[in-house]
Amino acid sequence: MMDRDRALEIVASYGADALRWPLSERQALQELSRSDAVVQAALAQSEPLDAALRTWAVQSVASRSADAAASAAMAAVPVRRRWWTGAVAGAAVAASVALAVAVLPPQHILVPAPVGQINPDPMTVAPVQTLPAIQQVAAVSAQPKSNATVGDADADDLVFTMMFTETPEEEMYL
Amino acid sequence: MLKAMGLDELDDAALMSRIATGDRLAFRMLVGRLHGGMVRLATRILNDQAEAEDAVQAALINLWTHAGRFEDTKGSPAGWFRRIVVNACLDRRRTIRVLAPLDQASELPSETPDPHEAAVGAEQASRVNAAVARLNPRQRAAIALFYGDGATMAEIAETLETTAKAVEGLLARARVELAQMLPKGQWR
Repeated sequence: MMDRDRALEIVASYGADALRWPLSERQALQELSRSDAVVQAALAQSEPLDAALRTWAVQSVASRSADAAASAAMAAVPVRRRWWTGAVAGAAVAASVALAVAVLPPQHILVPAPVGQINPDPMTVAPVQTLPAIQQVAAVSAQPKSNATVGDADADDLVFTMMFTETPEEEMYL
Repeated sequence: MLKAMGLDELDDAALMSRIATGDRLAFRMLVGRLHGGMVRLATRILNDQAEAEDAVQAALINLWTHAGRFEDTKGSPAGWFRRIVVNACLDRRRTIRVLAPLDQASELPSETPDPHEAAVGAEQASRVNAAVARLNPRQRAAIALFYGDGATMAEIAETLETTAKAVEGLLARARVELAQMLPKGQWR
């Protein structure tokens, strides 16, 4: 039920623009305003402020680009929601290594071949050695060089020469 | 690129679901939709564009970090984000300031090159700006939401976490104060 008090309340809060009034009360207020001089006066008094606020509200504001703002927000939280995935993965790897060291006998722990050892077949991965084999190599290399080891060095030179010296057929293409 | 990925066809709620999983492109798309309006709203509340940009930026970080907390049964993403922005603005209430004293506002030089009407308009805008800046922050937020965003009482109530009736009261008091600060001769 629309009465003068409610009408004045609405005008005081919403202003004189009927489009801003509550939809459920708009029609009743419009009808009352046609016949009530007090409500009409309140509407007239309200109009200049409504106009000033409309002008104020449409002032343009130039802002930075939305894309730049989005980038800055994401950059401010670079590891959001993903920090724990890295932590979990790291912990899992560490646990696996620790378990392997604790459970497996040394001869089953695989270690890549030492750098410098030639892999005869480039299509296969480098040979993998067990810990005892590596210990054996280490013991040998710790010994003073004998004639046999000098001979080994010559064999290495031969392999090097075979790999890096052109054959007569290759020379034709150079 | 975002269009090519079909993200532009998703509504805000669908984008929010993706953002909650860390989808950066969805975040860019949603920010593209909401950013301009939120900066305008924050500028009206804070009366300082640099502060407004900072408040919106803080709100964006909040949105990116806490997207998983959004519940679409409780409202729209735009409404949720608007609440974050307004709260960020109200948190900065100590920095809210009047850019120029009200009695000097009409003497501010216009930034628009010469036409007389533009100068008069700018003068009036600066007077209204100065008056609005003197309202308390919640009144200013209510005025900014109602006149700037065209928000309904229910939407303003949700944003300010109060009732529609209380918002009516906020607006009425704000209008009375503005009418006192802006005598009729000054706004027309």
